[in-house]
Amino acid sequence: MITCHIESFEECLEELKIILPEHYKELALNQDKVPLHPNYPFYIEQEKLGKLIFIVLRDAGKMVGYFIGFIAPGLHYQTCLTCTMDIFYVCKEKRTGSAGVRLFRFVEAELRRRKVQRWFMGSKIHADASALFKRIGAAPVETYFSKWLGD
Amino acid sequence: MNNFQLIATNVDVTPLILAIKRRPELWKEDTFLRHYPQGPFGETESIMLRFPVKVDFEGDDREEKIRLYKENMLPGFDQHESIDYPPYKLLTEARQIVMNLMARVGGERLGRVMINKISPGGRIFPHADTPVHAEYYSRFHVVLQSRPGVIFRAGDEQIYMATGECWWFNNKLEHEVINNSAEDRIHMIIDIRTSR
Repeated sequence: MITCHIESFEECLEELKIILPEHYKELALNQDKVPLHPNYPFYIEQEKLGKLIFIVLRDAGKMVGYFIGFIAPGLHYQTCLTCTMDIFYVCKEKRTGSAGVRLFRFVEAELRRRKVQRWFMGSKIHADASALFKRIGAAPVETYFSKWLGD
Repeated sequence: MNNFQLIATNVDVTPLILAIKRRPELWKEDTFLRHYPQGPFGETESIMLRFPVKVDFEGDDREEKIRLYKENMLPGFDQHESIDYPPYKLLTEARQIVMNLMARVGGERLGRVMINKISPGGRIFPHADTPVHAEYYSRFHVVLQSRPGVIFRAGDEQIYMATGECWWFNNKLEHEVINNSAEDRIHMIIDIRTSR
């Protein structure tokens, strides 16, 4: 059974650290130059300020996925409470069925409860999740580009 | 968060959970909740510490009895009057926790006290508590054992209650519990009449 949970980022951090390398290995760009090194204190601080949403997918207690987003009034639109997705992940062996859709529908319900008005979510070109986002009624609005400058 | 309120943390529940685990037979002695007519507790095991005198619903007028019971109008029975059951005298470790909570919330009358266990994969199905009862008493949960993976939802809010925490929640609203952890979820439920 897979269930969705609203949890504390800070309290779940040690569990999260187990999955993050798997997530990084599958999806991160420029892995030969950019190691995984999250700014955990920043996330914890945002959570304490009420600006973080952290939803966990669990199967028999084990964390098998998560969604992390930041919630704040839009920088250009202060009247619009906005959720900007940071990352999401569902472990490979749990991607059958509807785990992703359930996760995002749960996130949406919680965002609605928190009176969020607009929700931004991003999809990687090399790991396209746009079908999932379209399934929950979201529409593509922007394309992000990346160029490596660090050499 | 409107439907839940954290009352206390770091409640020392170890003596009580140890006392319960040393007496596993107590889980099998009372099946009233589990077999409550159309009830949501089919997957729950209970130890009754305090509860009203049990009602025998059997008979030709079963449905009428249930209706009157839920409205607290069944002659000879008062839902609000709980008495000590034998396990309350065995599990003496529960008393201090109950009385500390009474003091913390300014309790005026102590109602039901139950210990409920939901096994991994089990649930309490969505329901709202009987309005007459939920209107009279406030409901508190002391978490004796729980692990991440347990969901407690009331209305449109959902939380995780950790071991050693004590919570109030609004049991007038539809609520449910799903234990998607790998451990038994064991809570002590305490009804207290508070100032109105």
